[in-house]
Amino acid sequence: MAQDPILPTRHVFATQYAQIISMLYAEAKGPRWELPVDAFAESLFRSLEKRFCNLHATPLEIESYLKSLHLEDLALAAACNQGIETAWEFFIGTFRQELRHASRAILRASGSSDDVRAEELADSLYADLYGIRATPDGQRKSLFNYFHGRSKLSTWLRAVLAQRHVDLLRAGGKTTSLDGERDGDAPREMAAPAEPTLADPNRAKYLARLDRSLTFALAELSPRERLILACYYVDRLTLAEIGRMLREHESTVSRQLERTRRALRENVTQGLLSGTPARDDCPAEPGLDAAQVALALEYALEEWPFDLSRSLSTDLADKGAAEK
Amino acid sequence: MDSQGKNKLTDRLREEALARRMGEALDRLSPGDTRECPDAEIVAAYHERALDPPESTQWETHFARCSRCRKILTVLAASVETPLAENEIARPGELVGSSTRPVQVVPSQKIKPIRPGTWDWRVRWLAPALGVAAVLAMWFAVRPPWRARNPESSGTLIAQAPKNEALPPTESRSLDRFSTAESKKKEAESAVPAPVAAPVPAQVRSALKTLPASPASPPAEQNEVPSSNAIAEVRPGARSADSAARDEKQNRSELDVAPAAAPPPAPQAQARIASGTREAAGAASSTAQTVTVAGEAPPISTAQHKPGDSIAPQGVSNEPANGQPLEARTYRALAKAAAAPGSIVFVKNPSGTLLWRAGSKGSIERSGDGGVTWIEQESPSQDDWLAGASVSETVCWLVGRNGAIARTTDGLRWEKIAPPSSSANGRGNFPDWTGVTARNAETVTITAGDRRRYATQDGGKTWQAQ
Repeated sequence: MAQDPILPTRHVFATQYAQIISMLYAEAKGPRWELPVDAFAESLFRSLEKRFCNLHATPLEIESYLKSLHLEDLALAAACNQGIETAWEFFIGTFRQELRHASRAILRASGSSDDVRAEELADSLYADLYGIRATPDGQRKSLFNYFHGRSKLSTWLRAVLAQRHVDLLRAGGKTTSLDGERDGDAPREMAAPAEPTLADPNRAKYLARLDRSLTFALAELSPRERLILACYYVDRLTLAEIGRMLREHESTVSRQLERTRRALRENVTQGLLSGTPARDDCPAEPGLDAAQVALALEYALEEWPFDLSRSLSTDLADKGAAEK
Repeated sequence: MDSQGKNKLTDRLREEALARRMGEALDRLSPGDTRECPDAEIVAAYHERALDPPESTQWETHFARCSRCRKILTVLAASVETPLAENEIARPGELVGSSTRPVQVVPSQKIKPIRPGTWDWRVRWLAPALGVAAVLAMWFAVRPPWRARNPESSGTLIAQAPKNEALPPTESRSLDRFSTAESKKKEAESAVPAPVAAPVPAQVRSALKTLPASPASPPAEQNEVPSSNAIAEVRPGARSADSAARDEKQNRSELDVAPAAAPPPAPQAQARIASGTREAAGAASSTAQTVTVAGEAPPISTAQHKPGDSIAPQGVSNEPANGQPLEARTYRALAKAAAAPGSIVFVKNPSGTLLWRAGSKGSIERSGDGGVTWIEQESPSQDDWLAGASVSETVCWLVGRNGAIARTTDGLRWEKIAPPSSSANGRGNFPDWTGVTARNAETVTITAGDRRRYATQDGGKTWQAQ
């Protein structure tokens, strides 16, 4: 089977895909900003490079990808990057208000209603978008360089704002609670952990088995399921907030969470019953009987130092590589 | 509870326990290096579900372990929700057309008989009020208050609001908006409500004649209003008169000034017009969009018609409005700011009679004649000044590079104020202060170039990180 061709070079791209570039340039309304075609082609190439770096791509994949871009936004960003005045005017006129609204919404989500700070957050982007900060070689480096058209420009700007806001909070050591109302979802607060069963010599052994079973069970979960678990149990987001984040309905998230919890319990139970094979420096372990499994799961309700870091990172890396 | 129910509850508790442990374990795997985190483009594309399935899965694996990225995604999702106020702002004609709820017929209450003469009295009151409203609308249309007539006070360099303050355009709208320049103009013109045709009372006409040539200074009691100093601002040029009403409405809310929406009774027309002028002036000047100039270019402070604001520095265009689009000047001002090797901070006090000028190497100068002549004042610092704010004739704050902070409380002598100790980095270097907002001689908030903010309420003896 022939290997897919590698990504073309910049020069080859400009010549080999000239027709497509012209078509996309017209679709992007590049002439509105008097954007040079070369500059637009350069933007397309950088987007391509970012998407397919170190990967092979057929001409069909390249063409399909280029057509999927938000071309008008890309042309606008390229024009602003070039320093074209009309494009900049349009950008400020169109996005200034939206950015301020987004900033206010971001700060409100963090419990702040300071409109001045919201404006500062929004306006902090402009200098970087223009490229006030010069690189060591004296060139203006615009933030627009990092927009490649895979999303809408407005969403990208919001993402930049969100990143800045979160990084500021983390740098300031502030923890913000995004807890809102509990939208009627199941209570997350469990009952107080049961008192540890005293004088059970097998407790440590059962917890170790549980540890390993959970490791395997986690590897069986999809990244989306893990993400929902982390959002719900670590970030303590409501189902509605998770739904907004993942662009899914709250009820869908609720069902997914239920399924994930059930699958986790079933996988762990099965793992305890069937035992674990030998791996690395751990010998094979026989399965537990039903009573022992029940006891092990009871111990899970107690305080239990569960750390997956050593084994899980490897498993997740393997799983991630397999999924790619 | 029967055994089946008990089992279900037990299963439920176990599921919760296992899931919680799993989530906590995932969080402990959080990557310490943010270089593993995706850039804004990937985050935005993920949010829009624009990533390929394999890519999406790949990044979800990362998000499941990374609390920072999850927080960013949550904040991004929250940012899409526009504020309620914006949703309520109606574009002309849309609210009526979009309403789908049937009109509720409220049973009429017993109608009180109108006393003879009441209606006549109301008409007598209403007519001049409508006249005043019409005059105001025409005045804003013809002579926008932010068009500076005094060249000395023309330093306001605020990038003004776009002509259209409506909601962000959808894609279809964006295709239409800029197809031609005429469509822009039409859009701006159509947004201005037609003035009410009503005869202008004589006292209103005479009041108009007595209006000051330039916007009046705000009254002294507004000195307590915090004065904010823009980091870098662009001069507003000629704005379309059509956008005045929309911008005034928005800026009125921004300034938290009582709106002069209700038509005032005729005998008070003169006073109302004057206050409306001030409000409009303040509102118009605050229409400006502040632009932060970070990095090599020092920030530029400009004057606003509010207490304690600074005005335009040299090097930035002070050309009067020449009909060019505002955004063009925004762009040029940004370009100039980027190129300017050094800039001067101008600070104007509320009454407008005193002016400070501060610049490189700690220089501070004072003018008592509106900037015609300057007197050098002794500066407590050798560092470049980057921003300033004045709240009265005698109280002014300056901030600059390397943590420099200075204050005068008598308008003559400047004292050095120690920066917040917690703002220093590991090497003991203080940041460049690029912004200052002063409320009075004791209460001020300063902003560093990296957006950190510190506030004091005791004249700089102690600082709190914001």
